[in-house]
Amino acid sequence: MIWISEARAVHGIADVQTLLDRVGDGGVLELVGFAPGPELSVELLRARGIFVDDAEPGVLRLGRSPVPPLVDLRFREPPEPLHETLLAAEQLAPGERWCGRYPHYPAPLVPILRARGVEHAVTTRPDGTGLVWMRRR
Amino acid sequence: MSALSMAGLRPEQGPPLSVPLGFFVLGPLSVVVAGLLLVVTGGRDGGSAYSGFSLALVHLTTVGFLMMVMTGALYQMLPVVAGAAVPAPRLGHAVNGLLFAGALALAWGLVASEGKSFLVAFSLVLAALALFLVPAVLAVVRVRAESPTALGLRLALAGLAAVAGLGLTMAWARGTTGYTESWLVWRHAHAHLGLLGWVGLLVAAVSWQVVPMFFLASEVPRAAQRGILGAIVASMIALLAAFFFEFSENALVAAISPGAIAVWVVHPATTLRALAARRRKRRDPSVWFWTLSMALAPIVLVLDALAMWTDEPVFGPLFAFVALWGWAGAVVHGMTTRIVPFLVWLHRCSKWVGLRPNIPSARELYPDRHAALGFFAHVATLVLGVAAIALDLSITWRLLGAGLAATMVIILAGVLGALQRAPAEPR
Repeated sequence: MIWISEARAVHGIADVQTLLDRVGDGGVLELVGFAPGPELSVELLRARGIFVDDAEPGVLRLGRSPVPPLVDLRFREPPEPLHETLLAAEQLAPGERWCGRYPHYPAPLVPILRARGVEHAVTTRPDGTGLVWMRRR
Repeated sequence: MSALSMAGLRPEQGPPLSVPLGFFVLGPLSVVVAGLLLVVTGGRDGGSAYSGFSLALVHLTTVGFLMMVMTGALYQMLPVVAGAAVPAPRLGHAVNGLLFAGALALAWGLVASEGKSFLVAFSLVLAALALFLVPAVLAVVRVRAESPTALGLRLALAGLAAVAGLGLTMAWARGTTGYTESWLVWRHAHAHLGLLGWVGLLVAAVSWQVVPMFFLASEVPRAAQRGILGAIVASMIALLAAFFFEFSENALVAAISPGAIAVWVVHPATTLRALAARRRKRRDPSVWFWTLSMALAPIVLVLDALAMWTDEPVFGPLFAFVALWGWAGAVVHGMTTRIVPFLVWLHRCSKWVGLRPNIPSARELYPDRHAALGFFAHVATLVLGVAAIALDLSITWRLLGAGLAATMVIILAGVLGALQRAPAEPR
C-alpha cells in the first residue's frame, strides 16, 4: 500500500520504521515536506537498509524493497491518465509494482482496478494531487 | 502524523451512461425543432423580441436545449465534484422526456397563444423539476460543500428552482388570467435569474473544475471564485425581490448589475486568462468554444444594457440571441465535445484497456475534426442570426433556421458516432 505523512510529524528512524511496518513489504511511505536534519537524512535511512527515492524535491519515497518510480500523469488530458494506468496494470508481472501521480483523486480508476483484481491503494497528497499504487498478485 | 487515505469518501460511480447521454440527444432535438420552425415560417415576427413566436424559439433553446444538457451534466457532475450522487438516477430518463415534452408544449402555447398549452407545459415542466430537484437537493444537503465549485453547483440548483418557479408562475398566469400588470418586471426578473442565477452560476462553477482538468489551464484564484458567487447570489436575491415587490426600472438595473458584471465580465476575464496560461497549447476545438463564449460575454452585457435603456427594438432580440446561442450555447456545445467522449470512454472502453486490442481513445471517439465542424457551424449560425435580426428578411430567418438545425445535427452525430465507435456493452 501507500502511506503519506507530513515529514514534520516524523521524528527519527524509529518513526519511519513504524510507518514502514504499516505499509508492509512492497508498500511505499511518502514523507511530504522533508528537509534533512540530524535525526533524519537520506544517508541515515540508506545506512539502515531503507530504500529511498529522493528524485522530487521536498518528498522522500521510502520502502523496505526498491521503490518503484512515480509516473507523473498530472499534465495529461483526461482520460489519458486512466488509460496509461490501465495499460500499466495489464503489463505488470506478478509481484511487480507501479506508482502514478494524478492532478486529483482518480475516483473512476478504483472500481476498474477492483474489478480487474489488481491490488491497489489510492490516496491524495496534501496538495490535492492523487496517488495510485498497484501490484499484480 | 497525518494519514490522508481517501478510501470510502468519494462516490466512484456516476449515473448509468444512458442518463446524461439521453439529455445530450433530446436537448439538441429541441433546437432542431426551433430551426425547422424558422425554415418553414420564414421567421414570422422573429424580429420582435417579445412576440409569442420569438419567445417560443427562446424557450425551445433555454428549456429544451440549455436546461436539458445542463441537467444531464449535473447528474454526472454532482457525484464527482460535490460528492453527492443523485439518488434514483434512472428517474433522469423521465425528467428528460418530461422536459422535452414541456418545452414543446410551452413553445406551442407561445406560438398559438393557447391557454391550455401553457397549463400542459406547466404540468410537464413542474413534474420534471420535482423529479430532478428533489433527489438532487436531497443529495447535496447530505454532504458538506467545501470548494467554490461544489458550492456553485448547489447555488445553481437554487437558481434553477427560482427561475423555474417564476417561469411556472408566468405560465400559470398566461394559462388562466392572462398578462398581469407586472409582466414587464416579471419578464426581466425571470430572464435574468435564468441567465445569471442558473446558466451563469453553473457555467462558472463547472468552469473552475473542468477548465483546469480538461485543458491543463491554471486555476482561477479562490478569492475571485468566491467574489463571483457572492455577486451572483446578491443579484438572485434582488431579482426575486424585484419579482415579488415590482421594482422600478432603475431598481431592476441595480438588482441585475452585480451578477451581470460577475458573469459577463469577471468570470470571462479570469477564464480567458487561465486558458491563455494552459500547459498544453494544442489545437483543440473545445477551447475555441470556451474562448468564443467568454469573448462574447461582455458583448452580452452591452446588448443587455442597450436593450433596457434604449427604445431601439433590435437590441432585445440581439441580446437574447447572442446570450443564448453565443455565450451559453457555445460553452454548452463545447462541453459536449469533451464530456461525451470522456463518458463514453469511461463506461464503454476503460474496462477493455490493456485487455483487448484497438480500444479507441476518447479523441478517437469524438474526433477533433468533428468538433471543429461543429464550431464552424456554430459561428456561422451566430453570424446568420445577427444578420437575420438586423435585416429581418425571410431568407435570412430561413438560413438561420437551417444553421441552428444543422449545428444540432452535428452534435447529435457526434454523440451517436462516439457510441458507435466504442465497444458494445456485453450482454
